[in-house]
Amino acid sequence: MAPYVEGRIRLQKIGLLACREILADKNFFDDWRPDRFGGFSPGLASSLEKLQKHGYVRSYEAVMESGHRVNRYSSTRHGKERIKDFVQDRLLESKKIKTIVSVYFYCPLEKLLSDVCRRYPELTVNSKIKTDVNKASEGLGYPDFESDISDKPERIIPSHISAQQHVLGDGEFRKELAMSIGLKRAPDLDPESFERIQGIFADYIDAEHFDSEEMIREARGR
Amino acid sequence: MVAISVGKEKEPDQFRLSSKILKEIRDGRIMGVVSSLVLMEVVTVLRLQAGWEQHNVEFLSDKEHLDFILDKSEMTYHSMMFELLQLPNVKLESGRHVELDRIMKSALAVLQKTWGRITHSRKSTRPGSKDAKVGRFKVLGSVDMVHAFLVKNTGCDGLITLDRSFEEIRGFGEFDNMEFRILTR
Repeated sequence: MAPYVEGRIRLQKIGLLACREILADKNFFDDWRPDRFGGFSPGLASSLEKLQKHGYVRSYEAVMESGHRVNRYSSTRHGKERIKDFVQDRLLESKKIKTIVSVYFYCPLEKLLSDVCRRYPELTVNSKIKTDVNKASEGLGYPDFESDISDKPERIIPSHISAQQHVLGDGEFRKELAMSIGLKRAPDLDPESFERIQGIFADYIDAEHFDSEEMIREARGR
Repeated sequence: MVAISVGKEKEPDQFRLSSKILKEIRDGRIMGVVSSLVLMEVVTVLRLQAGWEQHNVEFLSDKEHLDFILDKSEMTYHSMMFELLQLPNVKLESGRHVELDRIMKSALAVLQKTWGRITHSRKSTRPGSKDAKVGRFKVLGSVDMVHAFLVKNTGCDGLITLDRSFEEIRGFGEFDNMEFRILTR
């Protein structure tokens, strides 16, 4: 399971695939319309804002290799609890949606856009990137789609405690680690991260059970 | 680290033990120190797990499978790292403040003195047959020894681990003033 969805364009396109390919008979977000980057659902955009407002989805800003900033969206623990029964009732559909999210998580954005444009050409009427996407799919180069996004920076995780108050001497290493995962700076300390870190791998491990002791031994070659 | 991040549903016993430590850190009773050696092991564990599970994604080519494993493990690690960087009462140790040559020499010296132990397990060859004994020699490894001296050299009071092999290290004078908390089920 992908840990987050990066960028609103990717989120919209994955939503489009999920609605049209998996939930076609469920009337989920049936307000898709042609837009600058292909299909766009105002309903999905509005729902995303509401989910963030209610704490079911969180987002944080990341810096891509190109230097552009993008928001990463992921469900919170609260959000996962909230939809637990829904997911259980629609297990097969949920697994299929998770597969779509995972597969396109590891693909460049242009591949996702190319696939979506091919599947739903009726939604590319107003697309300003249709030509570029076609070029990319023909192997003629990959324009920087993310640079067309003017995402406003969203909420940075708040904290009342600075790193220097608690920890001495690891400021530089923290910054390096933060930059290694795409952040511009080390995030502020947040006591709520104690809750968030628990079980953060759970969705990424498909096996029903896991033995960290055994895995560490394996990692050490024992 | 791994047990906490995996969570109680998939790893109830280790999570239960590890979450007590997390609570101590949260309450400020201890300060946690995570070394880059630990982070490397987390990355390795994630790759191993992703590699074992990659057969679920059938429509990818071999190269895409490899990319999938590397990307999946990397992104999973990034998610954990993002939260780790926000934990109060946790220090991240890059090794900048330690003397690596001293650690390596000390680790080599102690490793040469460590004893191992023989463990036996029963392994059935077929239903109804007598169980066959399988013996294994278990010993603390070089990485474990480096972990222990890194802890000591960093100035930490002790090491917390789920690995029972660290039982071997108790009794060595070099670690007399250190506490080894081995969380066992």
